[in-house]
Amino acid sequence: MVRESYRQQLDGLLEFVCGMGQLVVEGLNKGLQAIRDHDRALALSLEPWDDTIDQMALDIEKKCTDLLALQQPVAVDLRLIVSVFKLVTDLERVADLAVNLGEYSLVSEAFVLVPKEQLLQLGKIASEMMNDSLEAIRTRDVARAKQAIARDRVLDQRCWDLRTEVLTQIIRRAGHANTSEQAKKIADNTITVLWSIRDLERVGDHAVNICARTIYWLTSNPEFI
Amino acid sequence: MIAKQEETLEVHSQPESGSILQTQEFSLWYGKQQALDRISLKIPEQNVTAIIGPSGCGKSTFIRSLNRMNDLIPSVRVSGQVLFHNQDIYAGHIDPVEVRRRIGMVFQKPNPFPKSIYENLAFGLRVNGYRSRIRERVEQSLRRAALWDEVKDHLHKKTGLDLSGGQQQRLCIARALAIEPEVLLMDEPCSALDPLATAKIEDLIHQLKQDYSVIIVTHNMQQAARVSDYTAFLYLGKLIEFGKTAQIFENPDKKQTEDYITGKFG
Repeated sequence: MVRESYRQQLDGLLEFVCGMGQLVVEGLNKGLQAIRDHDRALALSLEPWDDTIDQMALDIEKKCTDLLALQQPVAVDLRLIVSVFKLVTDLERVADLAVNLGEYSLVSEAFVLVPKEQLLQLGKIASEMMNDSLEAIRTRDVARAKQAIARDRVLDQRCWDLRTEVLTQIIRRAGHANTSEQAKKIADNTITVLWSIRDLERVGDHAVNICARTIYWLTSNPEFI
Repeated sequence: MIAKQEETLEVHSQPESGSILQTQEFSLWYGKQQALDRISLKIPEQNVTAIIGPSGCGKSTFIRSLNRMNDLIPSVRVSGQVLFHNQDIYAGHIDPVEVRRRIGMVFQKPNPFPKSIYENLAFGLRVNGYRSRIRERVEQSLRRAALWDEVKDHLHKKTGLDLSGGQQQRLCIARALAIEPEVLLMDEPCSALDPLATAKIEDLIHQLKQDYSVIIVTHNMQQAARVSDYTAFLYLGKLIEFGKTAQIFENPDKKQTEDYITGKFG
C-alpha cells in the first residue's frame, strides 16, 4: 500500500534522526570524558567518528528530498520534513563541537585555570539538554522540548560565571609569569578553556534549536524558532 | 444518509477580498438522502477557491448548487441560501438560465459540440442574445482560454472534436467565457488530461482569476495546493474547514482536515 509505505518512510526518517542524535550525544560525552581523563586515544577517535555523523546527515537530507519529491507531504508531515532538514544541521554541528572538545583535551594542562569539575558540570547540562531534545522528538513531547529550552538560561548563566572565573584567574596568574614561556602557557590555557566554555554554550543553543523545530513540527508554532 | 447534528456548524471564514458568492446554511437532499449539510461559506471574488474532500463528500453537488445545475435532477430539494451579489439564486423570481450565464461551468470531461471551433463559441453567443461583434468575442474568448494561437488558422475547418483532450477542455473554457460570466465553476477539469495539458489548464486558471472568480473541484490535492488561493474541505456533506490554501496545507486547524490531506483517510 502506497500510503502505508509513506508512513513507514516518515517513521523511518524519525528513527534515523533519533539514532543519529543518540550517536551525537555519545560523541559529546566522549569529548567530555576525554577532558576529564585526559584520554588521548578517546580524543583522537572522535575525528573519524565525525565523518560517520556527516554521512548520516547527508543520508537524512537525501531521505527528506526523496519524500518531498515523491510524496508531496503536507501539514504535519511537511512540517516534520522541513524541521528535520534544519535540525539535522544542529546535530551535525554538535558532533563538530564534540570533536573540538576532544582536541582541547589534547592541550597539556589546559584545564588548570579553573577546576575541571566545573567545566564538566557545564558539559553535563549541555548533554542532558541534547538528550531531552531527542527524547522530545522520539516521544513527540512538546512540554519536554519547552523544558529543555528553558534550561538554556541556566547553562548560559553558568557559562558566563565560569568565564568570569577564568578571567579572574588570568589576571591573578599573569602577574606571576616570570618568563615569556610561562605567559604563553597561560594564554594557551586561557584560550582553550574559554573555547571549551563557548562550545558547551553552543551545544545548548543547538539543543534549543532542535527543540524549537520539534515544537514547530508538532504544533506549527514558530515562536521558538 | 447523513446523520443530523444538533449543533450549528460554525465554519465561516471571511476572505480578505470581498465575496462574490455566499452560501448560508445551505443543505441539499437527493430524495431522502442528504448530500449537503448546512454549508455556510463565502467565496472570495477574483480568487481561485478549491473544493476538496473524499469521494461522495458532496464536492460536485456543492459546486453544481452554485449555478442551479442540480435543478435538472427531479428529486433534489434544497434549504438555505446561495447569495450571488447578495441575491438568493434560489429565490422564486430568479431565472436559472440567467444564473448559469453569469456563473459558468466547465465539466470533468470536455464536451465540445460536433461543430466547427468557431461555432462552438458563436452558437452559445447567439443563443444568449448576442447579435453583434460575434467574431471579435470568439477571438477574445479563445485568447483568454490560451487557445487562439493553436486554432486561429482552422477556426472553420476543424471541429471541436478534432482537437486534443487538453485543447477540447480549453475550448469548453472559452465557450464558458464567451458569454461573459463572473464566476467560473470547474468540476474536475483536468481529471481526463495528461500532465502537459493539465499544466496548461492550471496556468490558464491562474490567469483567469484576474477577471473571474474561479471555483474548482479537484480530487488532486496537489493541484488544489498549486492553483488555489482558498481551499474548502468537505466531508460527509459538511464543510469542515475553509481558509487560505497555504494555511490549509501547512497548518490546518481541524484534525479531520489534516488526516485527509496527509492521506490517513479518504
